[in-house]
Amino acid sequence: MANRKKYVDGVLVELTDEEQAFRDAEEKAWADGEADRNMAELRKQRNELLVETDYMALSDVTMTDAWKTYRQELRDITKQTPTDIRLSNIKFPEKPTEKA
Amino acid sequence: MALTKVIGAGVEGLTNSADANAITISSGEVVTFAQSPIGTGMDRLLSNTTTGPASSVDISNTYFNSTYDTYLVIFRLTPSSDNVDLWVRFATDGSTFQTGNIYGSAQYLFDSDNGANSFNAGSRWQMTATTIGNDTGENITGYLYLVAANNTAYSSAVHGIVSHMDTTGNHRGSSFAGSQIVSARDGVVNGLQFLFSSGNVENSEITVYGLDKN
Repeated sequence: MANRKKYVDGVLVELTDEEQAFRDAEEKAWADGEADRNMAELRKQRNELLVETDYMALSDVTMTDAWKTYRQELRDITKQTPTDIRLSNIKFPEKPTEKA
Repeated sequence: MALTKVIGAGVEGLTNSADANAITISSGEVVTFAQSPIGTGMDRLLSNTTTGPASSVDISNTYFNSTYDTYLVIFRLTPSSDNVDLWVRFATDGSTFQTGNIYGSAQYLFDSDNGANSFNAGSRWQMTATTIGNDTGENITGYLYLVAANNTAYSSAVHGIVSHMDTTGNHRGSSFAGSQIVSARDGVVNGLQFLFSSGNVENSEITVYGLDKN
């Protein structure tokens, strides 16, 4: 099977066997790392949501039970069991409608 | 006397005989200089469009060389695969792109309060802080400045901003900065390679300007 091609200064040329092997290995490593990347992204989104409500934990603010539960569910989100590599079954908790 | 008026059929008001033919404008509005303009302004070196899938889009030392040390590169690329990052590598011999862990790279996603990503010694510069989608209309556009391209005492570097659609079609914006790590600073940068973390570049438009020679 012919190797993949690349553009060099606008001209399409075939990858050398060495370039093709490197690219194949690189793409495999990228694919193998998808679960870790998705979990890192999940944590990043979770942390942003926690930061939004951090002020509720200040000593002069009384946090309601609904918000306590919401924040705990955010912290526990990484304990859910993913059913696929894209974490498509992982759901963020809904924000309480009541005011803090 | 200074130039006072330009009309479609020519120039009026040039009465100094020494300057009279410095610039001429034809009846077809074509401007012609009697001598080459002197200056160090932006020089468009390459404007390239690719329309078929390719593993990467490489620009060699035909365009990145000792003529300029600072370049502006404006790009738009469409990935063939979903959920990929845009990477850039450099060549030091004009055409062989470096794949060792000699790239320092940092990206910041504007859309997030927690958008920082970085690595000190990776195998490429990363232009994106979050991945790109490949549905119809999704792509990445941006620009980068390549600076100190021929400096072998200090690291060559790239800095820029990208705008792209993520895998759900939402807009994302990121800034990025990258340089050769210290141990690789003795290499010039005389080629750039654009590629995605996986899959092909489905199509692209890349323009390269030479800006300055130190």
